[in-house]
Amino acid sequence: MKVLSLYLLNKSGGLIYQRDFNPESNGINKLSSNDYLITAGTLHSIHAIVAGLTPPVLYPIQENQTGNQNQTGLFQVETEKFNLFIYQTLTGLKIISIVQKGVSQETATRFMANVHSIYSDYVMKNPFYTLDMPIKCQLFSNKVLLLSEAS
Amino acid sequence: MIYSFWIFDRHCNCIYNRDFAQHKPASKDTVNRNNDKDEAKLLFGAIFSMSRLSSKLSDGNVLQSFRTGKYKAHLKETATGLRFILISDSNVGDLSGLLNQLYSDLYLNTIVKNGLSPVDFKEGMVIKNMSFINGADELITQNGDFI
Amino acid sequence: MSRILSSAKPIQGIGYDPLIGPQRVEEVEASANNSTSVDHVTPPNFNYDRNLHRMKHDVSLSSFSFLFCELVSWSRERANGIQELEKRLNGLGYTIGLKYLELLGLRENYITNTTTSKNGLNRDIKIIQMLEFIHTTFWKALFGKTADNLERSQDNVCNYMITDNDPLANRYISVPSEFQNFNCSAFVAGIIEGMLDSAYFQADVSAHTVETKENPNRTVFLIQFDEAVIKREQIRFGS
Repeated sequence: MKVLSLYLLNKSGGLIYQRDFNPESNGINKLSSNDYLITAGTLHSIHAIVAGLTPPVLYPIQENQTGNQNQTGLFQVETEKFNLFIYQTLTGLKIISIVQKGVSQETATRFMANVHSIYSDYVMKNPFYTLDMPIKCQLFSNKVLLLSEAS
Repeated sequence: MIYSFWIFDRHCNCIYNRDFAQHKPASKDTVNRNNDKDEAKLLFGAIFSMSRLSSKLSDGNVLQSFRTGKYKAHLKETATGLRFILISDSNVGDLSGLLNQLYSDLYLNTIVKNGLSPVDFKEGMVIKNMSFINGADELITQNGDFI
Repeated sequence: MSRILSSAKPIQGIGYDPLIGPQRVEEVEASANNSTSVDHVTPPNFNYDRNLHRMKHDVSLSSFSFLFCELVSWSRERANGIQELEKRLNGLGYTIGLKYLELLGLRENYITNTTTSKNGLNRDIKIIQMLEFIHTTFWKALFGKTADNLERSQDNVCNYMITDNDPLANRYISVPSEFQNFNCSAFVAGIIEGMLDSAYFQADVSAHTVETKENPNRTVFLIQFDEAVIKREQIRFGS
């Protein structure tokens, strides 16, 4: 299991979906739902703050063709035990994935792009879902689980 | 390309800052110019929140670096609460070796073992030790990633 | 079921243009004579002029899903409960089904007339023929595949069931737990009901979710014919 956790944040930074894949065996703590909300809000703010710290860049950055719109905000956090990637879509949705140390950036970005595609199918086309609200769609959860096992 | 070098102490103050990006080659004027600017406080705040978040998600986790599309920040936190931060280009690899060198070879020898430098930096005090500044410049400019 | 035109520029002399109204015959002939060659045919720009016998009439699943999503939300706002919501969706499908039988028959006729020398589609009189038609032709035209099962109920002579393992309308919809028995394919059930009614087989059609392990979205369309229809069948053809 390479992907450890998945968070989905709406454009105002509110947590709309959170999922741990096999938490105990991977060293990720299980927090209370309040803690998850706080974590999400913190990541949303840090994403913005870090964009304001950009030094006068002397070398241009490469073009990205992965669909990730995250150019100036927080992109990746490396810690001793895991890596955290943030993928932003055109509508401001942030997909945050926590992966094991060995996983490359391309794999993680591909995973998050797939999550985005699943989101636009099973959440956006669901008449019972209100925009920016927590996601409670069963089909979406199933597909995300399948995706995490396949990666 | 390494853009800047920061040191924060455990009282959340910036005690050293060196900017390599504004002028090339780095002149004496760029030392400790940004210590009280908002940039320093934002950087410290971001790093502080991020390290708290990582240790909450996984016990005993240590924050090593974070990256945006435009730059990458490498950090080292010591047991005494000192934080060493190097800001570099986004595609630079792992600079933890350089950070460890800066701490163990340079900082320990010139600041900690120095009888004349303060043990605990008070509000507003910065590192003005010339041997430290010169040594830091040498180590950083001679690193393979500095262009 | 067919592509919607986004722009329509009127062209003189070709077909009836409602913006201009009826034209005099001489004008039409004059402009027809002005056209240089047979090859130079201006493309039809109106729905009235389009050939009904288009071979490819596909709509992207995403567009349909978004439209259907809004349809369900709109009905939900105006309904006061699950039963009424189902009735509303059923009613919306009903009006489509009434007209669609005609179009489908025409298209099928065209296909069979170009491929074989048969007379084409006959009008179905037997119940089982009509159900076969729905099971294969109708399902294929709408969803690109045939339905999975057609069976007659053992308990009630009036009841027939058509099963679809993965209904296209429901593919992206997860029904929340408060709406346990609700199936958005009530819309498709309405289309079926409209078709049966216009073919003079009065019936009530409803959609029910029957989950299995492989197919969590499996839907059964329960078709309950009126007593009169069953009696007519028995009199005409013997049961």
